[in-house]
Amino acid sequence: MTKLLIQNLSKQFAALVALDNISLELETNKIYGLIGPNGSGKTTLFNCISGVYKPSSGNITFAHHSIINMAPEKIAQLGIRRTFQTIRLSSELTVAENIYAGYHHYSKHNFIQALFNLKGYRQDEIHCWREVHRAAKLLDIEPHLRLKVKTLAYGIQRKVEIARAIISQPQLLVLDEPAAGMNESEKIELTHIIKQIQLQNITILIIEHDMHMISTLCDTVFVLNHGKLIASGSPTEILNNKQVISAYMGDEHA
Amino acid sequence: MLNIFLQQLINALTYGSLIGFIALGYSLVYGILKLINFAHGHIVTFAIFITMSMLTQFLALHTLGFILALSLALIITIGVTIVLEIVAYRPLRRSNRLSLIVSALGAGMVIENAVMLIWGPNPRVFPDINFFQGTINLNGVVVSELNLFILFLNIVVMSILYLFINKSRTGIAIKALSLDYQTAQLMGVNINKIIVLVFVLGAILGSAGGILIGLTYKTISFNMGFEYGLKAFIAAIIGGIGSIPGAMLGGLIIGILQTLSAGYISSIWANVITYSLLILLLIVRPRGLLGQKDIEKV
Amino acid sequence: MKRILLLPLFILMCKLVVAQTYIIGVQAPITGSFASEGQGINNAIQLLVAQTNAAGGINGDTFKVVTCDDQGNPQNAVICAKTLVDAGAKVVIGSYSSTATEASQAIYAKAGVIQTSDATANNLIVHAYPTYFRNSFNDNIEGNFTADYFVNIKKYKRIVILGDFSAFSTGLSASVINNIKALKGNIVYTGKITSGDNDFRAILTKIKALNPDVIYYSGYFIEGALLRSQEVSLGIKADFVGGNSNDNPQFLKIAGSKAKGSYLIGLPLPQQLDSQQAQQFVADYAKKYNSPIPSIWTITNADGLLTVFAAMKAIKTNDPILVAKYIHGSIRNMPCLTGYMTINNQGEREGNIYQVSQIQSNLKYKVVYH
Ligand SMILES: Nc1ncnc2c1ncn2[C@@H]1O[C@H](COP(=O)(O)OP(=O)(O)OP(=O)(O)O)[C@@H](O)[C@H]1O
Ligand SMILES: [Mg+2]
Repeated sequence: MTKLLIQNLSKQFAALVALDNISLELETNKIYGLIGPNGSGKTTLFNCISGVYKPSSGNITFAHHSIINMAPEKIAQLGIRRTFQTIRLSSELTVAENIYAGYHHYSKHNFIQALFNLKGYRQDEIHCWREVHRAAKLLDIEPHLRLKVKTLAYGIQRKVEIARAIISQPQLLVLDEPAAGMNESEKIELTHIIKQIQLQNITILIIEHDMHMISTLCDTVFVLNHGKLIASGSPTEILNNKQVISAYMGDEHA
Repeated sequence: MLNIFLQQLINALTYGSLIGFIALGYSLVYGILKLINFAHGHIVTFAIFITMSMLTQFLALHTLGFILALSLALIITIGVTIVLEIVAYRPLRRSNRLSLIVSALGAGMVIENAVMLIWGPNPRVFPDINFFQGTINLNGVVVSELNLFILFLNIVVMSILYLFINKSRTGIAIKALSLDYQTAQLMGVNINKIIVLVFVLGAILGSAGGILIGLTYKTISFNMGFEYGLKAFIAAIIGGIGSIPGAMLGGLIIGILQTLSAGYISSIWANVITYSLLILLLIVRPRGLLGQKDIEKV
Repeated sequence: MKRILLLPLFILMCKLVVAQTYIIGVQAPITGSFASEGQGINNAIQLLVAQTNAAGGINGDTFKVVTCDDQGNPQNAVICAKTLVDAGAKVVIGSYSSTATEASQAIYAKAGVIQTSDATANNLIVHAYPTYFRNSFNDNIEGNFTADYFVNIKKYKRIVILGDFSAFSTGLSASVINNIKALKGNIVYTGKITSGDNDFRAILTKIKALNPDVIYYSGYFIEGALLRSQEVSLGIKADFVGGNSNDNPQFLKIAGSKAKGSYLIGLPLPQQLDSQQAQQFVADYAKKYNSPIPSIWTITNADGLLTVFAAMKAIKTNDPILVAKYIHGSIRNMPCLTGYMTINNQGEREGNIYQVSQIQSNLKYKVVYH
């Protein structure tokens, strides 16, 4: 079943064509990789999906809604959550508070209940904190919940970001270089965690430069170069694709 | 001697908390939006005048009338604040800091002039209410009921605000996402709602301070927002702008410095002494007493 | 056809412009804290000019009032002075406060414009501008009267003197202090508050410790009323005595019931003036503006203009220089709204009509000494 459909998507920044007529399709409960040399437009594609940028042309459909004109918070509430290439957490707050903030829109209570701390509000509270613990457990960061983010190692902060993104049980999780800055054992653990997340019925789209991780995780890989989708297929197909190799080689030579 | 000192302390705390109430409005808004809402002092003036009008309308109804007048005045002030946010700030949210400040200053002037046109340029007298009029004399230390109420309200408001910001769902979202709107939006937070909420909270706190000022000092004028706004702004800076307890602390410190220097050194030099000490404090600790380290320059 | 009709009208209009209207300027605080005073002055001058014009003007001239709002501050006072001189004013009434008057004096003097003001600071006369004269009494007269009342009548033993930083209040305080010292009175504290501030409990608490039997305030009514009400709130038993600028209905409104028992030293209130002429003026004013005269200063300024008119009639010319020359020294015991007008060679008004009133429990003033 199709979860996300991108049709003829282009994004231009003044003269620069960052995305050039991209079409692709993500199906439910699969893990997709998005690779490409630096500056090829990967993050820009994520920004279009999550509503940060409005595309210059083309369409994005998510669960039968066209989302290109939707406000970012609406898209997030619809079930698309993401992480960032550079960590964006509130470093003064605790891990728990950061994760909790990702569930802000969840609300079954009304204003009066909130004002007087009545049952409906308290039930929501209990539910949300339970979800915080669930997400933390999944990411294996439970011991750090009460610590301020700024006191934690980089690898753990990355996991906090993922926990914040999945607390609302999204349908599509978009990860922008989640393993950047991690050591080998952390990467192995992360690979395992991402697989666990998939088991929660979440479709995952992941940008990653580590080809080993991509091959272990992904069902399908998309390759971007200079804003164009130059290849897509299984990891083995992609690794043997001449165009892909020359794109990377060319990039390294440049 | 001790009596005199205690009396001065009470003077300082009641005066300081009035400033603190207004300072809270600056700090709250700055904490979330990194915007110094220079229109805040004038919103406070507006709140005072609309309350005065409502009180004169409904005062005959005694306590019920007081509550009715206060609620109506608050609702109107909140309405004005929301319009201000939508018209003067929202369109500029993504533009540079300077245009926002200019917009805030401009909006302040508009409100000040509107107050002058509606209520006239002459100073007005805030109506008397029929409670909180007595005084309590403890062994020569005199506290008016109104002062007691101000101190009480101060503690209540600070506690509620503390609980709201630190414990409530919205409060945590406000804090967690205050550094970066975009991340907030991407986490599903409707930032327009949050920002309006923060402005409204600031306006309510400012109005509370303003109404208490009206009740305490009686005389009000359309341009009082400037002076009180400035003092409250200084209080917010001293306390560490963006910090909630800091704003109140800043107000209290101004109250204490002014009162003690007027009471023990020289009334003539009270302002000079107060503000010199505050400048000194900012030189030693530029981020204010309870301010965050990574304060931005504005 | 239409054009032909318009032509005589046009000629008439030109004639109107050419016909001599003599401009009388009012420089007063129409807005700001002293707005009620400024508006009172402006109203009174408009009323007198309308009455004089209705009676056919003076020496062939009719008069027209041009008003400039100086908000009671010296910056705007300078701007107003230039504006009024440029507008062709020959006589200017104002301003209300000493500070604003002092700032504008030199400009009017240089332009040969007659200026008369109720401002009481002694230093308004030091330059002896030939075109300036005072329509109220200077601080020293009030200081002398106040000191005598404190030391000889009330026999206060512990006196506190407070003022603000304005030229007027500073001058009045100084003159009260000097006169009290001359009478060997005991001043236990002198201090200043900042006008515009609202909270004076710090200084009052300090004063409380000194056990005074009177607190005298030489500044304006807003701070005066706040001082009085905070004094009562703090349980200070000392009498409160306000200098002349506490005479304003706002004093009662701000201090409310706490105003009870406080004293006011000043000129008679408008309704206390006993001459027929004065009562007529008070009535005319109330009728035209539908509100009472705000304070005695409205009337001394009206007296200022009446003095100018009297001089014009006496010398049969409206030339400002000649009129000013006549006023300085030749106006003696002229009956006016506030009693009798005598102007000496320096432009100082002589005489003394000061009185002490006390606010009664029905919040009315009662004269207790004069
Ligand atoms: N807001 C913007 N304004 C102008 N140009 C932009 C903007 N965002 C991205 N670009 C440009 O678009 C191109 C694609 O950038 P993008 O960040 O999508 O690359 P990327 O594939 O994520 O690279 P990396 O692997 O380095 O993260 C780059 O040339 C970049 O400079
Ligand atoms: Mg990128």
